[in-house]
Amino acid sequence: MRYLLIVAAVLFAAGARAEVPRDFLSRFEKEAGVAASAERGARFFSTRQGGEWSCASCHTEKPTQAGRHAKTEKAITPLAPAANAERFTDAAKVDKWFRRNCNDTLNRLCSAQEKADVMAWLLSLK
Amino acid sequence: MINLPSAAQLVFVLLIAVPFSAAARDDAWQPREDNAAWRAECSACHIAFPPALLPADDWLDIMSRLDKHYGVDASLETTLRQQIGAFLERNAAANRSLTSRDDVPRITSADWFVRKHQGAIRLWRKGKLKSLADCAACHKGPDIERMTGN
Ligand code: HEC
Ligand code: HEC
Ligand code: HEC
Repeated sequence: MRYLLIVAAVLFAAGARAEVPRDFLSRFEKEAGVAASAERGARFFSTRQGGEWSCASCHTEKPTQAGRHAKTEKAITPLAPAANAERFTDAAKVDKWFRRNCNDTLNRLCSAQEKADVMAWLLSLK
Repeated sequence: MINLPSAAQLVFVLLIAVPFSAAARDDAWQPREDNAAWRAECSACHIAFPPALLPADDWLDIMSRLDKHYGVDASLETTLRQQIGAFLERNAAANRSLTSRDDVPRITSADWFVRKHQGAIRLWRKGKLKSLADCAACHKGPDIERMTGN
């Protein structure tokens, strides 16, 4: 009985860890305290903000397609969850790349609202 | 009695044995040891460069400033960074002559690399190759496939 409880607890913990893309939309919206806008997300994604790159420089303006790293040429699999089931399923990975890529394109971290907007747009792509 | 090789055998030698003997020489593409964290993290933006192509000092230098990594942020959390750093150090080039000549450590500016890659450097200067560090543009095969991470 005790053994079964442990197994159940482990399974529950494992289940709770795996994220789905919508979890990130809710998380960022909650942090931002405002509703996300897919339209704002689309604009943010494709506009350069002072730096050399926009998000689209590596992920393309249509992220259901594969991209290419603007500096090294390495292929990047599609960012939109509709085209790539592996995307936005691991919080550590999502946080790591928002940190790195926002730094590279904006010279600062992205705000919760910017991340929520990007998520809303990416989730709207078919 | 002398057995002259048949045409088929010659073709075999040229097609199979030559690439294999070359591979045995540049076993840089086959690290003595594998490391999943290194392969996943260091292959995200370029191939995971073979540890045996830079000396330990250069790897540790690279690992100590990942937040400013050749113009991009490649920062990692501490545990992973230390784990990958230790792997690179263990498998680094024993030979100091592989040290690069640039202000930042670069495989592509080491003397041996420049000597072996005159053709590549010409293509790069003409703008036909975006980056000399895009090894996979020219080097193909299963060993390098494993280093592209996808
Ligand atoms: C210089 C190239 C580059 C730019 C610019 C860039 N990215 Fe990325 N991005 C990458 C690479 C490389 C990866 C990791 C490789 C992979 O996962 O395929 C990645 C991964 C990601 C991930 C991880 C998603 C997951 O769950 O797998 C997110 C989120 C992301 N990028 C968002 C952005 C946003 C938002 C911007 C603009 C602020 C941006 N990126 C700009 C190269 C770039
Ligand atoms: C976020 C993207 C990114 C990640 C992650 C990354 N790199 Fe890089 N790396 C680059 C870029 C961009 C360059 C510069 C390429 C160029 O100049 O053409 C580079 C260059 C290098 C070079 C020099 C190549 C040369 O010219 O000889 C080495 C060595 C290197 N990286 C090692 C690593 C190691 C080790 C890791 C893992 C800890 C790593 N990189 C992870 C983006 C990345
Ligand atoms: C534009 C094409 C091109 C690119 C890019 C390129 N190489 Fe090469 N490389 C070659 C050619 C061709 C040779 C054979 C040269 C010879 O044997 O004279 C070679 C030879 C080598 C050798 C064998 C040297 C020896 O004699 O053992 C190694 C190791 C190597 N390259 C590593 C790399 C690495 C690592 C990168 C990326 C950082 C890279 N190359 C990028 C074309 C390229």
